[in-house]
Amino acid sequence: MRPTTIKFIRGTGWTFIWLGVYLMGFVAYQLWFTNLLTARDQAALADGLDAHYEEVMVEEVEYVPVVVPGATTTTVPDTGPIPDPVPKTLLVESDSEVGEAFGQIRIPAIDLDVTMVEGVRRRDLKTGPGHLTGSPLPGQPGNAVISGHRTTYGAPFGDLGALVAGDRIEVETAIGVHVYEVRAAPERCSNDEGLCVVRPTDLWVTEPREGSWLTLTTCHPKFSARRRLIVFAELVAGPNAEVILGT
Amino acid sequence: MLSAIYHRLPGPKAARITVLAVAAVLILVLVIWSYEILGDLLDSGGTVGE
Repeated sequence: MRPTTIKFIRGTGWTFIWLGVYLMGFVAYQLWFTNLLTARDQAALADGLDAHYEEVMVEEVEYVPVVVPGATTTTVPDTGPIPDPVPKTLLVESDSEVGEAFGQIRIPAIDLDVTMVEGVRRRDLKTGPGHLTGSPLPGQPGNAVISGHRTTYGAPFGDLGALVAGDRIEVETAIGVHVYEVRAAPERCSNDEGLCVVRPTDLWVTEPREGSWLTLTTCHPKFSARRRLIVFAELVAGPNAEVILGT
Repeated sequence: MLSAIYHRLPGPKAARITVLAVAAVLILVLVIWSYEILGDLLDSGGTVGE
């Protein structure tokens, strides 16, 4: 063999060896190292949560229900003069800084118990599930949206696909523990397995809803960011549940 | 391979080691940055419309 051929074969071999090393490093970084980073961040966030609860402002405000145009309404039978309604009040908390821990999410069915942060920037979601800024906080009327990683950075929403209708989700914030119940996937996004899977641009999942809802979003399928898995849950108990549910 | 690069570098021993150390750090930063970018293809955090 000519020296140039030998040199070429040797160079190609080294290229593949380094490519293999790079890819092994990538797998180790994603599946192991990012989990270490998130575990460290979660410990720090959990430590600061009690201080956050003490600092955050909690006040009572008049309850204004979320009205979604086009939603069905009920007709109240005529029972004579309507008395002046007693204003209902809700407990609300002040907004947190983006990147700051604001609450804890617990889903016993998938053994999840993690601290959530405000915001869904890349750096926020590296530390834990993030609350979409602009959507209501959990426990408030409307649609609170929480996003989280599925396979890396601690994979807080790794088992979200295992949730079924009726599973409980507890979200603790400064005003108390809000209990949600998972609802079946709507027909418009339900796949063969009964999971709600949408495109990353399907903004309707984050739109306001009547009542009080929690929407959890993560990547789908595992190890791909092509689609989103969505879990909808409705408030059933908590400091504001009685007012919002009208019971 | 490292020793071959080391011997090809001009200058005194300390300067060669410094150049190699700086290059190693730069490569490490570049590799981790590329891991972050590629990692978004595996799991971008699950946001909708962001």
